[in-house]
Amino acid sequence: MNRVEYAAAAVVVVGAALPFWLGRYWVDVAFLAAIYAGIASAWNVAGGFSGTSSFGHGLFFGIGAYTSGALFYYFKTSPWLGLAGGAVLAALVGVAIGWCGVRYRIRGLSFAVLTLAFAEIAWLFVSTFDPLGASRGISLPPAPPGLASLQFRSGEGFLLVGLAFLALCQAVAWALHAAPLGFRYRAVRENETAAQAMGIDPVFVRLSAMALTGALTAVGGSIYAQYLLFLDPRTFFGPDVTIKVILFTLVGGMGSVWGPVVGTALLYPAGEYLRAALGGQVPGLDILFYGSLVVVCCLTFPSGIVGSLARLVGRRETARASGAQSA
Amino acid sequence: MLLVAGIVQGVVLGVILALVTSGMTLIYRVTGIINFAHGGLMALAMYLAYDARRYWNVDPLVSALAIAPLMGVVGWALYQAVIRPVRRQHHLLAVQILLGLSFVIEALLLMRYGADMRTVESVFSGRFVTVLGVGIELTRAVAFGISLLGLTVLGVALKWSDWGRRLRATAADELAAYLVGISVIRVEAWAWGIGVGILGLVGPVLADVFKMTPDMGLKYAIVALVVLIIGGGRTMAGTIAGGLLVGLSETLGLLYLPGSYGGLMPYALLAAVLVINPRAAIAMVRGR
Repeated sequence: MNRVEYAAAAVVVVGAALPFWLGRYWVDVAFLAAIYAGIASAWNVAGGFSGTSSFGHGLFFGIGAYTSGALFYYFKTSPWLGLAGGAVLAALVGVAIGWCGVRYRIRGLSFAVLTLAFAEIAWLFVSTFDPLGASRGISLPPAPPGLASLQFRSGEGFLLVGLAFLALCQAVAWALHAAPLGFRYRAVRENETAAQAMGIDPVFVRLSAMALTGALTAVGGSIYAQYLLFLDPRTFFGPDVTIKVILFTLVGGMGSVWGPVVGTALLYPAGEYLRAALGGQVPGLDILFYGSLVVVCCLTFPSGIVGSLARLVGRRETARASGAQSA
Repeated sequence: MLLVAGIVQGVVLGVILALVTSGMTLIYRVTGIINFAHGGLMALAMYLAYDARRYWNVDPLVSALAIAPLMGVVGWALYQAVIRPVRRQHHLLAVQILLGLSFVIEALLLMRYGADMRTVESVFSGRFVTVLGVGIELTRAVAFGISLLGLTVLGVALKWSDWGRRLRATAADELAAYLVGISVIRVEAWAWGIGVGILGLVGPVLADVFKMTPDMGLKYAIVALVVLIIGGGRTMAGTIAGGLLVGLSETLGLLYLPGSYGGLMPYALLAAVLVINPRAAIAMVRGR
């Protein structure tokens, strides 16, 4: 981590503490922001670190939510077991899709489209599959609140769980970024042939990236399902989550550890504020905000907020170092 | 009998989808970018036809003649303002910009027209024709005819006009095209102009065939993408084949499979095509 990333981490920590003072509404917003930020970070592990972009993260989100939700609904299984089961299942599905990509040499944008196809299939399937509630969805029964049932009486409880999830995702992303495996990821992203020539196995890189991103996203889905207490195919399997998460990541800075979180922390509350403050009179204002911001960001600083700042600081440090040398 | 009905409906839908997708194919082949705002731009064209009907009482089939060149200018401007600056950068960047643009269009349509489902009546609305003993809505049949005509004109222009040769040369090898004196930038701008202009033609015509809502854009962008990939993304003939496959599989799937599992068919087909013949799928974006 460089100085910019420490600064970004500080901003995020302050941002996470802020809603506890701001009151009920912002606690809910912050919980959702934490879930989105965690998933954005999970997406970044595959899309940003290893270059295995996916347009189908709704698939993993939905698998997590529906595994824990359906087990909870039918068998009263502890959501923690469902959460773990969903994560394992999503990791397996991630490996399966990644294997399709490796086996049939589908890469880059076409791999992303393949993931989109699988997510759409899952969405349409769940929308018609009756045991999972079809398009009506499933209402989860409320349970005695507490950490065991992952349900809480107040938003603060959910916020803490959401932040724990975010911390988990960040810990994984940070460890991966610093570990030898992370260097292998980046090598495959930059030049697969060269990486292979150096003895790096791109198959392992792609499959492990898909497994990690799938498992983390599914955990987010399980937590969100316990918060919403309602499983609905569009919310979980639909493309909305994926698109938002990629948007937040790109604006924050793809490929950096803190970029996705910074992007989410800035954009998501702003969008929610617009919807709450002006949504009544002008519907669609938050969509307009997200849409135009992403266009402007991509055109003006394509490496994202964290990437651009890091380059700025890096340039100044280089200038100072060379100045010291010449003096 | 049911089978014949399914096939007729599927072919009609397929050819319409092929014209919708042809613009996306053109843009993809020439500039290497998948236009994720394709559906959003089509929705925009449809709502323009809605306004033309409401304020000036112009039939959508007539207003299409004005909306098509207007959308062409929109496509050209879009290329110059937004796509050209990022044409050498990471392909996800252009995708993200176009997705963002799709959001902007959706939000503007929602603000102006509200979330209600709308259609635009044309002179043919509410009537039916019988083809091979199968009744289909006249508006749908007209859209089929116009799509067939549009695809023919586009195919002929690409094959035999100098304009088409320049486009195909750029699609085949950008550098070589540049070296023989083709202005690649101008050709790419043309591809965007024509590709989006087609939506200006097809949108108003479809305004009574598909129901329009502000959030339809993303759905149709994905449908067009499925057609593009199943058709191989290289030629207009492939796009027509892709459109027919998607149209037939969806219609027949909905007829013969229980519930709405039939809606899955195009996506299952997409996954199958990607797995069986990945070369038909888009490889890494050209030259990057």
